Amino acid sequence: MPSPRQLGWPTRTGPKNAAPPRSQGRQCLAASPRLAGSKSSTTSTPRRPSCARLAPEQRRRRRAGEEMKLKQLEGLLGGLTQFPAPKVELEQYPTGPHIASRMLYTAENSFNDITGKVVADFGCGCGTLAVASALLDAEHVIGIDVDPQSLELAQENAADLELDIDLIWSDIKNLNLKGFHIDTVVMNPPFGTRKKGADMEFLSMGLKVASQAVYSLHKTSTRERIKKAALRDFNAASAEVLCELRYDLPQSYKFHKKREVDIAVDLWRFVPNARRSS
Amino acid sequence: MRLLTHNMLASNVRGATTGYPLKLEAAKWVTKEVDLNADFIRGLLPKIDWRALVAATRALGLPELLPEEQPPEEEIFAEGAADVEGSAIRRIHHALLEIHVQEGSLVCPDTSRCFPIDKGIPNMMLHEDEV
Repeated sequence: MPSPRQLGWPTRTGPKNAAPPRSQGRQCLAASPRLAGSKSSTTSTPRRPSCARLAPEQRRRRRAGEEMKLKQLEGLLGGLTQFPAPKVELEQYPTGPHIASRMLYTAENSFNDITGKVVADFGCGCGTLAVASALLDAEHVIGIDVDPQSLELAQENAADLELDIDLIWSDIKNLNLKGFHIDTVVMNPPFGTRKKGADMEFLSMGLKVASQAVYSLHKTSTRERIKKAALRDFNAASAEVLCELRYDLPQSYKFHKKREVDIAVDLWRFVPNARRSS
Repeated sequence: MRLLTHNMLASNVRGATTGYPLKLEAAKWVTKEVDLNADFIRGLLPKIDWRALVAATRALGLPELLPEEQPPEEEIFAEGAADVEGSAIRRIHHALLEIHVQEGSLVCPDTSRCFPIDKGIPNMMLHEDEV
C-alpha cells in the first residue's frame, strides 16, 4: 500500500500551527504546508471510468479493506451531476471535485473523522460532500438541504454509485436534531454574501449537533469573524484553518461580470465543546 | 430515511415542546443489507433513544424485532454475537441501518403536525407562520 507521502498527501506530521501562506498564481489549492503536493493532481486529469463499472470495484475494495486513494475519490466525485440551474438566493455554488476530495480526504486521513462515523452534510446540494463521505466508508451519511431539486440530484448521484445516503428536506436554521448521534458535520455553506448571516446559521447549527468535528469552507476575508463567532458565540473548543484554497468559481450567475471568479476560501476544522462527546 | 435518522430527527414547529420522538406512520419501506460493524454499534448505542427506536420498528409492523427494554450490553456485544443469526446486535444493526422508509409520514408528538416522507426524503420544511 502506498504511503500518504507517495500519494502526494502529507500526514499530520507537518507544522501544526504554521499559518498557511497566501497562494500565488492560479491554482486551485494554495501551497500550505499540509497540502503540499496537491498541485500534482491539478496538472493531470485522470480518465474517469464509468460509475457503473466502479461500483463493484468499490465493493471489492471495501471487502479487501483497501483505502480509497485521493485521485480515485476525486475521479468519482468528478462524475457527479451538478446543479443544472443554480439558485442565486441559496448561493448554490457547487463544491468541485478537487476541493471536495481534499476536504474529505484530510478529514479522514489526518483526523479519522469520516470512516465508520455518522456524517451529516449541511446544505448538501447535489450531494458532493455526502457522497465523498460515503465513499470514504462513513457508516451513516445524512444530507440536508432546503432545495428539493438538489435533494433529488443528490439521491441520483448516490444511487449511481450504489451508495446509501439519507436525505432530509429542511432549512438548516430550523433543523431540530436530538441526541448527538452525528459525529462529523461537513459543509460548504452559503458564504453569506447574498443572504447576510447564512454562513453563521450553518456554523452555529453544525457546532450544536456534531460531537466530534465540523469541516467547513468560508471566505478567507471573513477569517477573523468566523473564528470569533465559533469560539465565543458557538462555544467551539477549537477553530483551526487547515488550508487556504482558491475557489475557482465558473461564471454561475449573471451578476458575475468576469468570466471566472477566483475566491480565496479557508478550509476550517472546528471542534465542538467537549461536553457532547460521549 | 433509515431509523437511525429517525432516531435523531425532531419537529421544530411552533408550539412543540420537544418535538420528539416523531411518530412514524409508514406506508412503504424496503430493506437493504449492509455489513455489520460491531464497533460502530458499540459507539452509537449509548446515544440511541431505545424507546423511540422500538416505537419506530413497531410502527413498521415489526413487533418482534426489538424488545421493549434494551438488552444488557454484555449480551449485545458478547463474543461472536455478530455471527449469530437473530442475535441482539444483528437485530439492532438491522433496525438502525437496513430498513429504508420510502413513503409515509412523521407526526410531531406535541402538535400533531404531519411531515410527509416522499421517495425516502422526509419533508421537514416549515411555513413562515410555523417558525
